[in-house]
Amino acid sequence: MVEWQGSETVRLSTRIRHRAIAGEGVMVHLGRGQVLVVNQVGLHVVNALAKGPTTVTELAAAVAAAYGIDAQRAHRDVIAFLDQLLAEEAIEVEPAGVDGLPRE
Amino acid sequence: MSSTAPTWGIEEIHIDLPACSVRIEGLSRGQKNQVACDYSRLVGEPHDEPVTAEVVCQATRLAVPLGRPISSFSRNGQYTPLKRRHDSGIEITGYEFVATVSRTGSTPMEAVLSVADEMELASPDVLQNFLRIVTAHCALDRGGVVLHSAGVVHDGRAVILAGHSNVGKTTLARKAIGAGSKVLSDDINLVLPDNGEYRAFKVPFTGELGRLPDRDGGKRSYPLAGLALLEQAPRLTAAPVRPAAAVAGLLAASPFVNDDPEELPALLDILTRLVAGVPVVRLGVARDNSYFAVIDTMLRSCEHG
Repeated sequence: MVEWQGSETVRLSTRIRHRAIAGEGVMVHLGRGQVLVVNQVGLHVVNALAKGPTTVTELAAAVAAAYGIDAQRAHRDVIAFLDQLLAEEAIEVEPAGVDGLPRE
Repeated sequence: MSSTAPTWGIEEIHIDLPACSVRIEGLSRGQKNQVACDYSRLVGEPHDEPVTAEVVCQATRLAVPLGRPISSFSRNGQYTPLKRRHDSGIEITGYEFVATVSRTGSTPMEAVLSVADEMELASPDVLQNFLRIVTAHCALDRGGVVLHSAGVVHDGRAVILAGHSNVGKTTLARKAIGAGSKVLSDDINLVLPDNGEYRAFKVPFTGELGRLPDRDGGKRSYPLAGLALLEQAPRLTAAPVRPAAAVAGLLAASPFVNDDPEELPALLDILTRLVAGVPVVRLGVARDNSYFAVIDTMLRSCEHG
């Protein structure tokens, strides 16, 4: 379990393949043989992660902007989703530096 | 993908599978006779015109037996040959056999199937598993898919009930036989597009019920009425499934290719098209539900979904 601060860097596992289907997402973990279905917001997060490593704060801001919800709720929802992805080994998380900023 | 290993002889045989035709070369007389016996309905007569094979396989000798216990090929309690992807194809290691299959897009697909013991080649553990994997890849090339499923024929149309091991596929297939319905397979079924519709094909691979005399396979196919994601449940339920969940459920039931990074994009495309064209329902079945109750409930859900 990660004690999320917001400045952690999150990247999609190289073992993950995903596809948008009718507004939802299907994620396949090649190593584990797991198949996940994610909703529209989850797909938005996965698409953002597929573009490259990003921080939790940046993900939450992107979700808040895309769906017109307040930043706090977006942050909470994104962290809950990332916890699920982490449990499925779908993402890798690099902890924040000692100053709370993403590591260079 | 040629092999320098010695072959078993000069005989060859042509097996006309629903997804592809396979010519096996380099067989001994004994091997050929055994294959011809096991796949009698799918093997051409000697005087038939030569058929162009989509897969050409060399049968070769392994210098020494692999000697690996069958337990080392167990995945989720099921015997599953190991697959490794190369740039030019796949390498398969199973119980007492190794095989390579080219996946370069060239035709025919070239393969090599090697065993150490002459009569191991035609055994179900070897040839049948090899052909299952070849069929799964050839199905993708034709826009179709092999599904871990029970397939039954109801009023001339096929119903495919996909699900993991021990979910109740064989139980349901037994009930179907008891009710006088035709069972395609209780283990592996093939779905291919054909003239704007999808059809289900019987494949000559044994499930538990495959040990019955009717393991002929063949080109006969049935229009696909619906697909079910089968689950155990306290009572009979059926509900339409959204496209993404349908693709996910069917992808999990697509053996041999769903863990292959090179095949996955095509598999996702094919399943996305399939679920757009054929109703998919989540079917919860209790042990005491009758076959007709299950099928009627499923088909009603397909019609109203």
